[in-house]
Amino acid sequence: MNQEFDLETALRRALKREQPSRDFAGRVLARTVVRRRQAATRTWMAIAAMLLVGLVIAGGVRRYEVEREAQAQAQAQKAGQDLVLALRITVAKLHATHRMIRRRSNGV
Amino acid sequence: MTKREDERFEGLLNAHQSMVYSIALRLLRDPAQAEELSQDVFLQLYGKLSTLESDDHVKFWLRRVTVHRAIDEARRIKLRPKTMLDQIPEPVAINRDADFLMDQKLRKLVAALPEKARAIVLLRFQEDLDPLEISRVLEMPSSSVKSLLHRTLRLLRGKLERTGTKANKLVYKHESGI
Repeated sequence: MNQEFDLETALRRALKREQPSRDFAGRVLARTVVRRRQAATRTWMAIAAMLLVGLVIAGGVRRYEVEREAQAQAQAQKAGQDLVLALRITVAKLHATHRMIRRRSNGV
Repeated sequence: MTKREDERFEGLLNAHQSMVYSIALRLLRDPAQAEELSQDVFLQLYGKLSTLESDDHVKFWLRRVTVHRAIDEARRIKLRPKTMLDQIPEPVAINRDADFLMDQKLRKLVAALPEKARAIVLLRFQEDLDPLEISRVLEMPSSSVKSLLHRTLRLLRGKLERTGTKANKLVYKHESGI
């Protein structure tokens, strides 16, 4: 048996595995439970945050639509008023023209 | 995680806790820190278990992660002794079982090695890995592993031969009442 073999055998004997404390596995499992709960909490918080963001976006879109509808109504109202004004001016012009024609045909 | 994965994790924890703890203990040389690091390694495994298919893969992963984390931790907290190998006091060899003394002496000498050399000795003689497997765990060329292992064994042998002579003298002095 040579010296190297002796040393290697001695090292194998000296460096045998050691056991951790008796409740080691229990403590690791307890930490996995805590970690799982934390992960579940994080998941629910992420879902809640996504819902909140969704609600904010939906609210924004709805408000934009309402404002756009109000703008369109105001534009339509203004167009109607412009049309009435144009018709009044036309009627006034027609009356004036009609009066002028009658005066000329009466030889005035 | 499903119940089946939880059961698998518990089985792996029971099967490999002594391996993970022993590697961490011999690299950190502190039971409390070794237990904390071992717990962290198993928690890391818990989050990664679904990606590790076979138990051999898990064992390889545990060894690799434990060795790297323990080396990093040992360097971080500067556990490396300021004294050189030659300056370590020798254990006194009086009235103790020879194997016990030899084991104690070897553990002290291994504990005083630099982190990389210590990791190689542990993986070779505690975990019984060959140089190729050690090179995969430590992510270094197998030729470097072989040469570092050879140099470390030569250093340990030289140290043992010198201390063995001193220990024999101490026993002789004790027994002869000098």
